[in-house]
Amino acid sequence: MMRAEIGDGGTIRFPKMEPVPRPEWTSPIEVGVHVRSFYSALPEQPTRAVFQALHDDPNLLSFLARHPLGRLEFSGRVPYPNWLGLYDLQSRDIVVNSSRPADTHGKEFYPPELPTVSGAARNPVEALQRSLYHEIGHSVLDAAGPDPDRQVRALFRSGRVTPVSLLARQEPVEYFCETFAAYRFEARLADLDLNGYDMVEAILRRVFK
Amino acid sequence: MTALEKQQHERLCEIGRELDDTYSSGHLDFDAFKRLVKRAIASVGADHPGLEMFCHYARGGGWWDWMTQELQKSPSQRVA
Repeated sequence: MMRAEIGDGGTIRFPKMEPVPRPEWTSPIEVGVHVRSFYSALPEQPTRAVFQALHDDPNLLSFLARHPLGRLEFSGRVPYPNWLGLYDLQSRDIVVNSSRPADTHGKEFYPPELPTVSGAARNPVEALQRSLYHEIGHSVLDAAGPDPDRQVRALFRSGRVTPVSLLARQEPVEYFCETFAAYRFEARLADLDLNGYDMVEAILRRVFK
Repeated sequence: MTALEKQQHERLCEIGRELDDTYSSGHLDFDAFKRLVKRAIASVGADHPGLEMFCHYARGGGWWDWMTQELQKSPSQRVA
């Protein structure tokens, strides 16, 4: 059985291995209900720990039951090792990079220099949780439909926003997904970017009803 | 942030604006998509995590496969 290693800094360093089906480790996500399939390259404990983030998010679980993801995967199967995740719009497949470099989390939440919201995670599990939320954000925005999509783009272009990370500054969809992750994990979002906070709330009201 | 990182970020923001403009105006066909992905790769290297922004725009049949193949065959700009 693979075990997580404890790195020099006291954090879990995930071993690199091929993902295998692990439908029994996904609670509260259910394979066949919220996702079509689930594969993990991580050991059991950190895999289950990543999904803990969804335990107190019943509205998002309900959303995923109505708009199931395709194949969800925690693995290193991204184009390059420093890519943090992927969302395929057509298949609704998500890959969260479970082999992300150790220097991609533990950063100060300082938006002008923060690469991604997941970079401000305190540990590797939280970094994967944040990246999972970011990728689910793509699905949320897609399900919201064309009007919210246009509103996000208009807000982003208006200059009345304070993007939470460098990735959020790049373009409107990443702005939404990064703000969505910050909405879940950063209590300071409303103080930092009130219009972004309101944007997420408005879209969640729409897709959660 | 280093000067190079800042420069790469500014290039990606510029390409991101063009991606948004092209999509919003209804002109993001496969040729435009390929042109923007190639420009981004040439500007920052295929291994830059900011290229994830193209994933949400890979909407046509074959776009995703083309993009992932293009990323894999393109050189990284990462300096060891």
